[in-house]
Amino acid sequence: MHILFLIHGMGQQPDNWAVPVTEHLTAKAKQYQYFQDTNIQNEVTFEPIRYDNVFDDLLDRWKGNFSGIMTSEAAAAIPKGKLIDLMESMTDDERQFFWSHVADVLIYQFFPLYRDRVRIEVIRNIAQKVAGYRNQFGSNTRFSFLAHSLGTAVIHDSLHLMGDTQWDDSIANVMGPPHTRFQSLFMLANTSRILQSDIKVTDSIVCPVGGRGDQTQEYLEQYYNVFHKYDPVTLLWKFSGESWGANFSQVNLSHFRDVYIHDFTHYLDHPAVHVPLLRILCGFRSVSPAEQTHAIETYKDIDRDQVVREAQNRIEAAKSDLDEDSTLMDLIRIWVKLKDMVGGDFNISV
Amino acid sequence: MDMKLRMGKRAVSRIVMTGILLVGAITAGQAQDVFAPSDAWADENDPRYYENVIDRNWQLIQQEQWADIFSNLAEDAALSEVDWSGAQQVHERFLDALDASIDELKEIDALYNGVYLEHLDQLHTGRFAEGIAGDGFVAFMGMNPAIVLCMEGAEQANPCNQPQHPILTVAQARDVRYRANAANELLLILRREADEVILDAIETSYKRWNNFLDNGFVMYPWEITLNSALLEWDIRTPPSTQFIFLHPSLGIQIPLDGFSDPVKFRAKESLVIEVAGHLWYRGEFLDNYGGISGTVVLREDLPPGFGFLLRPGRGLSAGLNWHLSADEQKQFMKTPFVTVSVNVLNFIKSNRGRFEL
Repeated sequence: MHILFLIHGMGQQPDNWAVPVTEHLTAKAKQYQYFQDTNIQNEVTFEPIRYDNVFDDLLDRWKGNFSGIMTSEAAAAIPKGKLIDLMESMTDDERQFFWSHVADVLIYQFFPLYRDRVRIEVIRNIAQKVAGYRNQFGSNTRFSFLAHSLGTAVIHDSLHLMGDTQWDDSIANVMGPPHTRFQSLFMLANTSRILQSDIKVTDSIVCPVGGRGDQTQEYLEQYYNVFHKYDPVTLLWKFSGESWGANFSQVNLSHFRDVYIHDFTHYLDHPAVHVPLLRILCGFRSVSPAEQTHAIETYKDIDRDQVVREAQNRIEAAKSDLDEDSTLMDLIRIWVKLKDMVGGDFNISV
Repeated sequence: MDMKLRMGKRAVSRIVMTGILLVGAITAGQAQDVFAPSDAWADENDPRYYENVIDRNWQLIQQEQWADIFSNLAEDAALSEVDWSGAQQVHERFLDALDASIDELKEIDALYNGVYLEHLDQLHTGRFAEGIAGDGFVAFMGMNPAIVLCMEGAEQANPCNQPQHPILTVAQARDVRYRANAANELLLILRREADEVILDAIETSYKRWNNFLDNGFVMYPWEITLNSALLEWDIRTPPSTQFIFLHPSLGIQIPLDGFSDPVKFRAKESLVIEVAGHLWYRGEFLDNYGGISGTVVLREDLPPGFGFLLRPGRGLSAGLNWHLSADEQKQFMKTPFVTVSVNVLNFIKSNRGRFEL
């Protein structure tokens, strides 16, 4: 059995947040002969991981008090900083989007205590699931990760700490490499470099076999980095792992099937993403080379309509506001400006 | 006996699982393929099957004679009846991997008298773990170089297009997979206690973080920033102390002489600002805390009051404040006030269910 951990992106998530992702992957699998008579769930168990509850809990505790405190006389004595300045410049809609999506990113980036709180939530979840599934399915149970957006930074940091920490003073961490190694990590809209903090991407153990030349520093068998040219979330600091050797794969996309181009399923929809994922999960024969070629060639024959052109124009305009000296706050302003494309309904009339 | 029982349970679980997978295999028509990731390819009656290998070595396992066990595996593998022509390098690579494990085990025997638990950093327990390589091939990435089960028809696929990963026959693939699975299972038995220790350690860390941030004294954003800058911690354990800074909360004030004279007993709501303070967390899981703060108390009917707040444990806290006189603001009133602070944020959180917030 292959366990596929699903890690969501920024924003508050419903309980069934992973259902569209698993349904989409299941539907995509049905395109291929191997899955005509069998279901992907016969070989793969989907295991969603949530961490948004940590942010929600903190925001809930602040919400009832934050407004009153900030408008009180005492507010003048409270250090505000860039976060408050940014909020004061927003409209009501933008502020709502800010609290439901961007606040998670800022808390993770700028509040190290809560960053570690999120990480231990994810580490504990993975450790328990790994132990439980090994008991259920045996020691050959495989584990992979499919992460999106903010979830890529969270899973990067969490895996590094899980595998690199000396959890017990006298016993080696057998949950880390080389004792334990996970089969694959698929990073969709990889923010692990954008949100890099105390754990440097270039130094972490979250790299594939051969990436460091030291098996004790390589936690993965395969690393897939999926980059979309027009995703506003990853306009800055593109992740690169090409020096990691043959077990690192870079997938570059520029497709438009949905104007919500940052969406988890929009990434997964592309055969350059779901074909290698299906093969990692179900083996080489699950998608034949001929099927793979056909799927990719067919997928490229998409007409780009007016909505696509509009979206492209908006992204290009936003990109022109960025340069080499831009900061994370500049990027977040772009996310807010393009909130329809990052995490909401698309409102452009066509 | 306990281990034997667990092995038995696992065997039953495995049989059930194998049955399920076999049904799927018949449906899919491909699942019994040794080159597919599924476990359904294995024949439980084969002497190389991991449970049969464990049974044969059971006495040595109980005696923790791990170097002898792996020597037996190496001897069996060297005498393999499989025709390795065309893939001799794969067979040799597997034998080298077994030799490497034997060397590591012998070294622990020699240096530490066979005490493995605390010296697992010197043993590669993931060397024979089964994984995935390239375009979806079953592989053993812990060996160096890795062994990949490349099948006929995959000559152009990654990494089977490389000379170190030759195409294997079904017999060759089954032989290396049986033997690697058995070696892996044995190493997992050897390190089982370590797995449990690490899992417990992670759970302990989670409880500490949960108590410190979710059940601890709530920090406002500026306090998180301050504490993040001043305190030291790691993922194993959060800080055991916490600074309080400009922390507003609701309070109730009662004149101290009101406790002895019921006529003077009047409770009045006030705004308590803990200007600066410190908390200490207690217990293995940081499940309680205490502390002290300097306070300014604001209320509509009196000038500001100054004093302190003691926090003996989680929940309510109490202190004394001396308000400036309303008439003569350069002097303090003679009677201090007892201030009871109810941390609003904690209060809301702990009563969320009751108030349906």
